[in-house]
Amino acid sequence: MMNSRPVILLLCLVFISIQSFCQNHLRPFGSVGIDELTQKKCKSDPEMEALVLFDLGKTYFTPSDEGFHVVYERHTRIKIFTTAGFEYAEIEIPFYQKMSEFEKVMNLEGSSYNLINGEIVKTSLDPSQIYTQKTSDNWYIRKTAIPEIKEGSVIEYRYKIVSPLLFNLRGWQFQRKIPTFYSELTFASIPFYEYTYVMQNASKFDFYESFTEKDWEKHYGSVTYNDIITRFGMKDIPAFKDVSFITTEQDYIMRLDFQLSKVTTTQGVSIPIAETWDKIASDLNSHKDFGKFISAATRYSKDFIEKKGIGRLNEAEKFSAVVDFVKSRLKWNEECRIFATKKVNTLLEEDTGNSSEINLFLTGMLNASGIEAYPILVSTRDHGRLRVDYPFLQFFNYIAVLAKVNDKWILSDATEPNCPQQHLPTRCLNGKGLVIKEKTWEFVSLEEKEPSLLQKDFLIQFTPETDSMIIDLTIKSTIYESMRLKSAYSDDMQEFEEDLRSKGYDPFSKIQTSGYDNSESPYIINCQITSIPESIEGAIYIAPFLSEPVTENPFEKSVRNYPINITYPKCRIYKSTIVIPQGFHIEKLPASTHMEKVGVEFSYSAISDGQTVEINASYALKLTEFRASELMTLKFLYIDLIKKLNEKVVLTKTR
Amino acid sequence: MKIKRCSWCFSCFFLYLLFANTMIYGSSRENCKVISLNSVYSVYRNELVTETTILFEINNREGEKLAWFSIPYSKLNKLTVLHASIEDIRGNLIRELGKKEISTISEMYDGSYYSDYFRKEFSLAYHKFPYRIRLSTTYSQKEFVNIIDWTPIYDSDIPTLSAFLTLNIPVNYKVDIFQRLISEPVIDTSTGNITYKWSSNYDTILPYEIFSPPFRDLVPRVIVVPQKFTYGVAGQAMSWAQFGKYFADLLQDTEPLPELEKVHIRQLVEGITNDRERISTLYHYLQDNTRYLNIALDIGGLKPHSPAYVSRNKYGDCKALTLYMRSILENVGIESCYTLINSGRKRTELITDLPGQQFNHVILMVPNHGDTLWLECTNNQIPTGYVGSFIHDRGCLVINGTESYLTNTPRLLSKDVSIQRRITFHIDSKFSTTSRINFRLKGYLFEQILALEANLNLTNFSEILEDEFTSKNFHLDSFNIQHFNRDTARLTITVLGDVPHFIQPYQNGIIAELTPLALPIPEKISSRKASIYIPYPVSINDTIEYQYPSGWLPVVKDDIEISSKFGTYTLRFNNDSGRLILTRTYELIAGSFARSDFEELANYLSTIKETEHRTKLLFQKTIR
Repeated sequence: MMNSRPVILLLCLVFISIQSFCQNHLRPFGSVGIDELTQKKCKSDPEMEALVLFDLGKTYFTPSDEGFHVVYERHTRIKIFTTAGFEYAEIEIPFYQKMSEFEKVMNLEGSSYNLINGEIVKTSLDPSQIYTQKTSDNWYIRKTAIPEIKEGSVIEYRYKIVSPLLFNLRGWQFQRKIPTFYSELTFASIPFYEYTYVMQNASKFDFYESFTEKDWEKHYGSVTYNDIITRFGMKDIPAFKDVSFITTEQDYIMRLDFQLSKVTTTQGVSIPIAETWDKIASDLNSHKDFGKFISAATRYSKDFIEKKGIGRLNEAEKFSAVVDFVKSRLKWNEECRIFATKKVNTLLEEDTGNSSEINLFLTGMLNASGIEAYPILVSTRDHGRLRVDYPFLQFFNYIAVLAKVNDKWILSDATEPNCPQQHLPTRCLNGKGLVIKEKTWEFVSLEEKEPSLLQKDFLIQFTPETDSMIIDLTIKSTIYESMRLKSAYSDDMQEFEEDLRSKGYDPFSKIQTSGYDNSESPYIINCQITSIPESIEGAIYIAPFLSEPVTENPFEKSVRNYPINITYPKCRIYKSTIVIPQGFHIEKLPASTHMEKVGVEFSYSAISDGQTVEINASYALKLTEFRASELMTLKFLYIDLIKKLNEKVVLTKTR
Repeated sequence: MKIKRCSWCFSCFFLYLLFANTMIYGSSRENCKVISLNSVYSVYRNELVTETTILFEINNREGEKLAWFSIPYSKLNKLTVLHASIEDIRGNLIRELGKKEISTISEMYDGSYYSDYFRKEFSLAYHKFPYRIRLSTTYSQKEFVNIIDWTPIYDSDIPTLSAFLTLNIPVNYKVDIFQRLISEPVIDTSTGNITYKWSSNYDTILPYEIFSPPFRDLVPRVIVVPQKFTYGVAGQAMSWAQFGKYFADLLQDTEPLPELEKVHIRQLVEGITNDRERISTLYHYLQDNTRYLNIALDIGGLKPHSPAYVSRNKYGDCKALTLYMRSILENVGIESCYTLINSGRKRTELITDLPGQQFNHVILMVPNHGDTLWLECTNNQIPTGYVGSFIHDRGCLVINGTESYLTNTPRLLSKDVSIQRRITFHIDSKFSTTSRINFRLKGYLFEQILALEANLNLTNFSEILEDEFTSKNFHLDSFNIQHFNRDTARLTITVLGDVPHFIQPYQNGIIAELTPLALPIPEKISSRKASIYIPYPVSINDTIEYQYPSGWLPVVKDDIEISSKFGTYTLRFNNDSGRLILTRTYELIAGSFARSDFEELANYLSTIKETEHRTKLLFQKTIR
C-alpha cells in the first residue's frame, strides 16, 4: 500500500503556503499597508513605472429570469512609482450591449492612498466622475480616473460586471505591460454549463486548487447543486515587453481563455456545444449568415457571370475576372467579421460590406463560375493566433477564400484592391486557417511562401567636372512591397519627391510610375536625381546604392523572449552601374561575398571592365518567423550586411 | 500628455520638427474633389441654424478614402438633419444613405479624456467611377459665441472647385465680420433680413513649404461674431473688454476651494515674505498635487470646473487648473488673471479687430509688481513662470472683469533657446570609437526632455534618447540627466556610447564624419508660394572633439563662415595635442518675412548643408 502521508503533507504544505501568501499579500479592499506605500521600486524590475500588487478576479453564476447570468468581479491594487505610471489610474471597463444582450457594469469604486506626514490619506473616487462612452455599435466603455495621484501612491479599485453572455466567458489576463506581483482568478462553475479553458504562455500555475463548495448548497428548479471552485494563481509575473516583430501581444501575453463546451438541462440532458471542428463546420454551413449566404451569392452572381461573359473564359481567366469584379464592385468597410450582417441583395445595393460579406460573396461567385472555392476562417494577426487543438469559434474574426484553379489551390481575398489576386492581405498572414468545405473541413497554412521583392537599380554618371552625379533610379516592387509603396504614396509623386529631397537628392525630372492600377504587375517608379559625390583630395568616394540600403540594424537587441515574426518573406536587390568618368580609374573596389545562415541569404559582387563598375547585391529573408534563439545570429549577419551594402567605390585620377 | 515616438536622426531634428509644423502639405493627384461647398448660416430668434451641403466627386478607389464620414454633434450643437446620397456624374440619384448604415458613437478627441460629444459615422461607395456623393447637414444651436468661422476648404489635400457662404440675420441683429483673401460679399436686404453672400474656392492645393505661416492664415477665411450673445451666460463682444467681462461672468459662482485646503495653502507660505517665492511655492504645490485631464462637458469647454472640483479630484483641464491656481493665489492675497491664449508651436494670428472666441487654451497671468509671471498650469515639470514654445510671443486676453485687455506674452530670445553640445569622439588605435555627448538644453528641447522623462519609463526614455538625440549608429550605454534648481529653465544630459563604423579608411588615411545639423530642406525657389514665418530663434553651439590615436595627424581645414540676414553659421578647426576640435555655431532668427526673402533663406540653408556634406575630417599617418 502506498504511503499517503507524504502526499497529504505535500498538499497541506501547498494549501498552507497559498493561505500564508494570501494573508501576507492580499489585503482586503480598503486596507492598505505602510509597506505598500513606502515601497520605492519594483524589486524585479527597478526601472518600471508601476507595479500591480495584486489583481483578483472572480467569475460565478447567479440565477436570473432567463436562466443564469455570469458575474465577473475584479479587485485590483497598483503601486505607482513615477509619473509615467499615472496612466494606470485611468480605468476603462469595456462592456457589451445589444438589444436583449445587455451587460451591466456595477459597483465601480476606487481610491488612492498616499503617505502624507506619516499618515495614510485616502481619497475616494467621486461616482459623478464615472463616464460611459460608446466605442462601436455594441461596445461601450465605463471610464473614470482615480483622484489624487502622486509618485508613490497606491491605487485600488473594484467593480462587477453582470452579463447574460454565457457562451463566451471573459478570459483572464495575468500579465500586463508592468510587472504583477500576484494575479488570480477564482472560477465558480455550476453543473449546467461546462467550460474548457486554455492557458497561454505558461506551462503551469503557481497556485492551483479545485474543490466543491460543500458548505453552500444551491437550488435551481428542482436541482440541488454545489459550485465547483477552481483557483488559478500566478505570481511574480514580469512586464510584457518585446513588442517588435510579433503578430500581436495577445499571442504571447499570459492569459486564460474559456469556451463553453456543454450545457446540461435541469432534466439532466446534456447538449454538447461546438466542441469539435466537425460541428463548427457543420453549423457554419447551415448558418443563414454563412453557408446560406454563399448559396445566395451563388444565385445572385449568375447574372453577372452571364453579362460579363465569364463563363466562356478558361479557368485562370475566370478566376481573375471574378476576383477583379468583386474587388471593383464591393468596398470593404474595414470591419473584420466571420458572419454576414446583411443579405446579398443589400450588399449589392450598398456596394459596401465587411470581410465576411465580401469574401463569402467571392466564394459564391467563384462557385457560380465553375471554380471550386471555399471560405476560410481566419484569425487576423492583431486578433491572435489560432490554436488548432481547441475548437473555439471565437478564435476567428475574418474570412478569406480558398479556390482551385487549374488543379492548384490558391488563397485569395477581395477586400484590398492593391493585393494581388493569389495572395492574402498581410493581416491574414497568421498561422493557419480553417477551410469549411461542404461536408468536411481542413486546416490550411496562411503563411506566405513567395518573397516580396524590392529592387533598386542605379545608373550613375558624372558631369564633366565630376562635381555632380546624375542618377537614373528605378524602383521595382512586388506583392507586399508593392502594396506598401502604393499605400505610402498613393501614386502621389509629390510625396515621393519630398522623400527624395529628405535623403539629400535633387530630383530634376518628372517621376514616372507604372503598375499602380494593376495588382498583378510589379509597381515601378522611375526618376532621375542628382547628388553631390564625396570628394577627398581628388579621390571620389561613391556609395553605389546611395542612401538606399538599410543602415540601422533591426535586430539590435541582445535578448529576445519571443519568436521574430517578419510577416512575409522579403527579398531586396540592389544593382548599380557606375560610369567611370574620363581621367579616372578604380582605386578600390569592394570585395565580393556571400553568406547564408538561419534562412537569410546575402550576396554581393563587384566587377569592372575599366569603363564601368557593376555592383550587384541582394539579401533575402526566406522565412516568415525566426526563433528567439536566432536573434544574435541575425544581429551579426545584419552587421556585416549593412557594412557591405554601404561600402564605397573609390576612383582616383589617372596620371 | 501623450508622447508620440518618431524615428528621427540627431537631436536637431526636434528643431526640424518645430519648423516642420510650419509646412503646408499638398497633393498633386486628383483622386477626389469637392465640386461645391455650400454653407448657409441663419440666425432667427436667437437660434443659429447651420445648413451645409457638400458635393464630392470620387474618381477612383484612392479617392474613396474621402467617402468615410464622421459628423460630430452634441446636445448644445444639435444635428437635426443628416442626409447623404450617391449620384452619377450627371446628378441622377443612384441611392440614398439608409438609417441602418449610420453608427452613432462617442466622440473621442485626441487629448481629451472624456467629452459629451457624439458622432455619426458612415461610409458610401459605388462601383462606377467617377461618382458623386451629396452630403447635407443641419445644425441648430440655441447658445453660441461665434456664428461663422469658415474657409472654402473641406480638406487641405482636396481641391474645392466652388464654395459659397451665406449669412442670414435679422436687420437689427448686430454682428462684426472679418474676412481675408475673399471678395466682398453681395448684400441683399430685400427680404426684410440682411443676407450676405460670399463666393470662393480652393482649386489649387497649397503645396508643401517649409517655414510658412499656419495654413489657416494663408487661405480665404470669413469670421462672423455676434456683438451680443448667450453661451452659458449672456455676453457682448463689441470690445475686448466686454468679451473679457463675459468670461469673468462665466467664472463666477463656481464652488470655491474647501476651507481645509485654504488653511493648508496659507500654511505652505507662512513665513515667506517675498511674493515671487510665495508664487513659486504655490505653483510647485499645484504641479506636485494635480494632473492634467480634459473632461469636456456642456458648453464645450468654455466654462471651467470649479476650484472645489480640482481640489477633490486633483485633476482638471487647462481652464480648471488655471482657475484653481488663481483661487490658491487669491487665498494668500496675490492677484492674478485668468488669461485666454492660442497655444501651439505655430502661432496663429490673433485678429485684434475682432473681439471674440479665438482661443484654445488658458494660462494665468500674475502681475507681481511689474515682473509679470505667466503660469502654465497644465505642466507638472516646467519652472515657475516659464514661457515655453507653445505660448510665447503671441496675443492673449487677460480676463479682468470690465477691464479685460489684450497683451502679448514675452518672446523667446536666442539666449532662451540656446543649445550647447560638447561631443567627444575617442578613436583608439584600432579605430573603434566611443562617444560622450553632453547637452545643455533650453527652449523647446528642454520642454521635450522634461515631458519625455515624466511620461516614459527609463527603458523607453533611453530608446528615444538613442534614436533622436545622438548620431547615426550611436549605441547608447548610459545616460545621466542633471536638473538644476527646479525653477531653472535648462538641464544637462550626458550620454555615453559607442559608434561602430565611425571611421572609414581612405587611400591615405582615415575619415571621420562631421555629424551634420538636421536642417529642413527648402523647396525650389521658383515654386515658393507663401511668405516666411520662423516661429522661434535657433541657437546652437557645438564643440566637437576628435581624440585621434597617436601616429596620426588631422588635415586641418580653413574656417568657414556663412552669413545671411537669417543668421550666421561658422565652423572653425583647431588641432591641439592629439585632439581635433571643431567649433560650430548656427543661428536662425525668428520672425515673419516676405516671400521675396525666401531665396536668401533657401541659399543659407542649402549652403550649410552642402558645406557640411563636403566637409570630411581626414587623418593621415605621420611620416617618421
